[in-house]
Amino acid sequence: MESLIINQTTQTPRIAFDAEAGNGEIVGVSFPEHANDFYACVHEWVDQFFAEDSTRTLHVAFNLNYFNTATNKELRLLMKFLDKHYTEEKSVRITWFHEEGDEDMEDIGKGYSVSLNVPVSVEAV
Amino acid sequence: MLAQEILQHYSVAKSAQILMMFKGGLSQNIVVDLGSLLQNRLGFDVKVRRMFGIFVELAQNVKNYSAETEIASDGSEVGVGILILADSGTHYSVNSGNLVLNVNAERLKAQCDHLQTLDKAALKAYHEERIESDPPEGSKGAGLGLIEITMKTGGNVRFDFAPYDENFTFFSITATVEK
Repeated sequence: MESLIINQTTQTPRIAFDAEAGNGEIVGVSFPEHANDFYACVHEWVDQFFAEDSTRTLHVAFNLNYFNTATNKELRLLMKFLDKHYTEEKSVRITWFHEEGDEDMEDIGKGYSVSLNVPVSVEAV
Repeated sequence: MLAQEILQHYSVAKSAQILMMFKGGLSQNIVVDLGSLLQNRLGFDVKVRRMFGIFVELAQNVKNYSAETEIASDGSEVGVGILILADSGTHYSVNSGNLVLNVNAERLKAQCDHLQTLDKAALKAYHEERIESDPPEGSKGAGLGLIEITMKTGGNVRFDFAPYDENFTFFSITATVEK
């Protein structure tokens, strides 16, 4: 299965999902014009990853220091999507990185760690 | 323009402590470029990022919802408005202004008034409700912009309306955040 690589721009994050290693990361800032279109590829990639082998483990790291409200909604959908896979017995874990002292980002991560079943580790960098 | 006229613009910008002002059509590319300009000028630490988040939300709000539009260089139809970022020394003031149709102004005003009655917990609950539901009719984004601006400023946001002409009302947002 091919890796999913999208380079970082001034308005969109780096997206890098590696099937061999079983990990993915979303890094940078996010305020694209059409956030839903931008993140659709991640949903497709994750579905394919588990369709090929449902026993694999996927670790997704979020390391964003700014995103707009439309992205906030898309991240919510992506989190719930990963949570759905987890509740269907897939091995998924999430790390939510935030800059030390960035309480807004820390709170969003903590919100996910409380509301989702999938393990979400919130870590300062 | 003669020096006297330019001096007037200069004096207004100086006395209002304006860091940046833009009036025109806000395509996504312009929003991104203005954002880069802000980052080049102010850096991107956690407090600048909070201001930046409000700035982008206001810019995308004008882009998506201004009743005055123009065709951008990429061929897309974009909203026209004004964005003003000022620095009072202790705070950033992020301002936007654009035209709205008179027939929509009442509904918008009711929505703004409603936001201003909500305390922190109620805002969070309202945000939660909206992020989980489909965008409202006619919304081009997630329909969350005004709610998040109100949350990010801790309520330090003012929505205002000024008469413009028989068809349009001028709608402004002034959001204040600590530096």
